[in-house]
Amino acid sequence: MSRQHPDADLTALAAGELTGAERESVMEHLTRCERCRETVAASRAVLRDLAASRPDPPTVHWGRYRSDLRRRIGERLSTAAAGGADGHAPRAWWARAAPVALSGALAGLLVLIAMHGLPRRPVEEAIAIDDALLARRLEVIRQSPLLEQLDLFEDLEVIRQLDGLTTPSEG
Amino acid sequence: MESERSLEVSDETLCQRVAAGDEAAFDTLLERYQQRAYRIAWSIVRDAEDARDVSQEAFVRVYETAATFAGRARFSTWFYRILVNLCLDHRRRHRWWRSFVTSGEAMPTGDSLLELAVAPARDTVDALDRERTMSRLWDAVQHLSPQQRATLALHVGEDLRAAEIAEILKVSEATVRVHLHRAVTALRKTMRKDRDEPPAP
Repeated sequence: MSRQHPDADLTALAAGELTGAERESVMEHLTRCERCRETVAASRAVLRDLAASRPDPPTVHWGRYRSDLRRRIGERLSTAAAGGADGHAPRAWWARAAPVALSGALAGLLVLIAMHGLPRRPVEEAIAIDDALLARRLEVIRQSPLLEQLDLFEDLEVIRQLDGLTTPSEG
Repeated sequence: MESERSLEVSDETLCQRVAAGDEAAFDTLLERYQQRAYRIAWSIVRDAEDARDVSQEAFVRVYETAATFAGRARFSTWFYRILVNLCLDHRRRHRWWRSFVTSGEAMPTGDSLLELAVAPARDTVDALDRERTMSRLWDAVQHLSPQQRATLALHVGEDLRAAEIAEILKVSEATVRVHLHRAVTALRKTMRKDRDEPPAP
């Protein structure tokens, strides 16, 4: 907005919005500026014509309007109660999109499985891990000094496992 | 009479009663605001069915959330804010150019408001020409931004002051003045073009 010509204030003046010192300041400017006087007059004309020619909306049967509204309220309350919600807040826009989003995610998951196969079963993985840990432990025992090995031999499971493992060749 | 007694109860009190489950209070509020709500909605969305839908949704929100109206503001401000936000959301979700397709209007581009101005008839301005000019004025309003359109609907249509419009739109009063200024400036261009266009030979 130009400080020389207070354009937005001119419209506010035409709309009857200015009061007090603000109005006096703009009125004082108008005494010196023909351009702004014409602007105010034109703006007043537009606002007057808008008010005079405001179109009426199509007629409404208010009884039907109110009965439709009551039905909507009833449906909203039923939906909220069925959904277990607090019954006060309407469904958010993202909730309405959730079924579509979930379907998309499921479709994407099926594509991934088709491409890469199903993941290994957890039980098989657990057995593989146990074997690896045990083998590592036995390797540590084999490299320990004799006295420590004798202590560790108290672990009967270790003794049993020793029979099943091959002796790594010395480097 | 019951209707006279209901007129004495403020909107704010009725809303608090709605929050407490008073169905009659809701009916009274509905009766007071249904026409205004529909009129405001229609002036923004410009479709009767959508205006009914949006205005009814606003009342549903009042019914559901009356307890959140703490009475700090006027009920009318709170309600109009719900209504106008629904109208603006509706405009965002629905392609607004559809209204031009159904009415035969071309989609506006650039200086669209100047393009919309119609050349005056050969004869001097008569009542029919004046009526057409007025009609073109409100047609031009539809090409304004949603915020400008909402500002005009509330200021011209409901005679609300900039301060209350600012509360409804949750903007500053200065912003409302800017919306009003830009809307009126754009419409003035339309009227000037309409008036100054040379008559057809």
